[in-house]
Amino acid sequence: MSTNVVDRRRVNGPARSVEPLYTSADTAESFVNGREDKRTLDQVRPIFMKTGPLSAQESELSLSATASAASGSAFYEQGKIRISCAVYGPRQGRKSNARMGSFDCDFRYAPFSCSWKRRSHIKAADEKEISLMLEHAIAPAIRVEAYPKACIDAFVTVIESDGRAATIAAAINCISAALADAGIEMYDSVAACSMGLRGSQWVADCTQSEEDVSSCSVLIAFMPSADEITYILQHGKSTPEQTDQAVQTCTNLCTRVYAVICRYLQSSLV
Amino acid sequence: MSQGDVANTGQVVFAIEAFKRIHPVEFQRRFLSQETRHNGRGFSQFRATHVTKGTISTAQGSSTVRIGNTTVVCGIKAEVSEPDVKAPNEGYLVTNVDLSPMCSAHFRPGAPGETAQVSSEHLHRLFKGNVVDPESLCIEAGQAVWVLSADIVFVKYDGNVLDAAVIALTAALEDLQLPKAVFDSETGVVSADRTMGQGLTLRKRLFPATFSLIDGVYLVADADDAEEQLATATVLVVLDDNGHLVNIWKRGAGNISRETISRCVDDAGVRKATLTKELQDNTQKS
Amino acid sequence: MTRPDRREATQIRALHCALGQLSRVDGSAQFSLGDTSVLCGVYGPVDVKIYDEKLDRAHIEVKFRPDIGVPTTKDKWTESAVRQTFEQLILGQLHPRTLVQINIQVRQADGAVDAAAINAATMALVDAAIPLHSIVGAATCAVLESGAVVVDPTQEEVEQARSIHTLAFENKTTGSPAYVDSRGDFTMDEYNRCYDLCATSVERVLAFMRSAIESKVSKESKLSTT
Repeated sequence: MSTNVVDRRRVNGPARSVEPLYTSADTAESFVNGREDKRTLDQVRPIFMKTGPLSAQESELSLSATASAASGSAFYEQGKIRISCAVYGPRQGRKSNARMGSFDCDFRYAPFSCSWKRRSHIKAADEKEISLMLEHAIAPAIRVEAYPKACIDAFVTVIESDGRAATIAAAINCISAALADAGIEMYDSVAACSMGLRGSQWVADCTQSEEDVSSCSVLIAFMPSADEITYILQHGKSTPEQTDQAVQTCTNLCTRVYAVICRYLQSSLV
Repeated sequence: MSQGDVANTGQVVFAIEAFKRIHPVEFQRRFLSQETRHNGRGFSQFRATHVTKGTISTAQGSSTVRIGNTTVVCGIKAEVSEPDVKAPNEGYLVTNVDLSPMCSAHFRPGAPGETAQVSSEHLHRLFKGNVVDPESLCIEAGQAVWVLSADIVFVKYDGNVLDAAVIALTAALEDLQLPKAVFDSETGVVSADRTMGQGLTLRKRLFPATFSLIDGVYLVADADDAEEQLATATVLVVLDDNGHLVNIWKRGAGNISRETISRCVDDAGVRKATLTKELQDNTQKS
Repeated sequence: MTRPDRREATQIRALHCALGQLSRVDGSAQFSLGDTSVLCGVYGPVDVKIYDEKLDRAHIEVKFRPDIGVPTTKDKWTESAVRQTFEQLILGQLHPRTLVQINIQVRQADGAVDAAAINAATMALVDAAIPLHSIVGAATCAVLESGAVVVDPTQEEVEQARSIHTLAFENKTTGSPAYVDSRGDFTMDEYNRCYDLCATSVERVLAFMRSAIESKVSKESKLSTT
């Protein structure tokens, strides 16, 4: 049971509320070919993205990206995952004498975005942690020395999530696209991908129900052109050999995701 | 021509973008005095509105609404709580509007600003009791009731918060499927079956229409962000299915006469017809 | 039809107004409609925070505090409604780069609080000698379940009402309302009846305001001559 924090600047419900106990059977057993949705083991869910101001082209979900007056923005879909991001900057930084620019990230789950309990409006510890992770994963790609005294802010909101690690990977891809849209100077775009370990098998881009039954998850953020990894995250147990294998497969998948992002960005210029 | 140029006549000639930035009021006035608007719409013309229901699989009820460039997602999560002792068989509907810097540069990160707070409160006043019967959210009197947390997240902001929020919430409530819940009096636990969804009967549906007074003279329907910045007064009219009025809310000083308000009500009736069509069966095929 | 307090349907409750009760503000007023009582204190023109500073006019800020508990979104809503009503009414161009702060404290709530708050704010602004385009008065009407329209409802009547209408008018004869908040389930006909009733009630409120100001000014001028 959790207590809802009373915030005077919001309409508040009762002090305590819980999810009912769901009795319906779990669908986790109905995996086809080891996957929930007939993908192969190393297949990433289909990606849709959109940057910049709205045009006639529309997402199948009739969600269109992009904030007005932001320097850059992107809307990103990967399977059911849906993420929207706005980038502001380079703009005046908080430290007036910094020789390097700074990159800040504000990551939020929409209250209804997770399949488990509703998220509180108050920023949870995991959102703060993910914000920091995103900063660390993206910052190495940005030419911060080109922006002295300036800061670049990214605001990311998850509208729908499906797999924790996959959502973080999607957020990284979404920010990369938004940064490119904002015209921020970068060494390379960061592409990210996650995998889950089921038994002794690595499964790429796990959905929530797949992630629930996997014993270990690995997330890699990778700059394919520079051939550099910017972030590795592992949860759970695996042997060093297995991790090696995951890093190898993930970087390959990141290259594929990167190609999708690049193809989109190129076509958006025309 | 990106900067001001002095033409032979001695007049300063600006590129249109520069003119818009430097003197937004005059920019709008040029259009309005010609009986048109900078976005090409007529004075009483609303933007194209698209409603899609059931867009979020992680919520019990959801909708996505686009009014021109304004895009909003509404998701309703259903949870269980003890009812208030004063109203043992009434559930809760909690409405909150989220306007973050993700949707527009007007909004600051952190706690909700005034626009978000006022919109949340206004939605609460419009929907509570009026649209959802609190007693239909009762699971076991005095023991357990549903709490519907409706969060309205703006993905892209281009004016007209309230219209978008009211339409999105109405559509999400129509989409809502509450699992069949049973209260166990021995353990005090509510168990629910996901496979047995049940829609909620709404008392009425709400159809909003906003009008803004620009420059003290021109009354325009469904103002976008640029027009909203210059509006001195706004009129919100909300109608229900029967064509009864639910809300007339005029804020800000400006000459909006009694006749003008009744004209707004007439226009809201026309808007209602369009919205009714749009709200009908736009459930996403998955 | 009889009302719980035996008033006529078109009769507003006893009006009471006291100006200048607070000593540390630039202007203050207490305004009562029967048991509903609101206290308002105005500071202005005073220094403004750099963030709020407007180069061509004064920044108007309204703080609304309820009678019980801490302010919530309900009070923010009233705050914004009152601010938007007075923003155009105050001649802010005369005091650029300053702040006019209107602080409203509800002392007792028994229906028609929004109307009382607008009336109190007008009186306090006059007391603080803030230049205004015109003065504004507000009144509330309720349509009961029976279809009867009553003016200036008490809390008891508000709870039984099918719709509530709060309208504010300026003392100029433009005939357009400065503020309208009609909520509930009503028809255009009911709205029009409430509009007329509120308009006549506001006339009475404005006349009362005028006499309250006059009596204060005459008292002050007597003091200064002696």
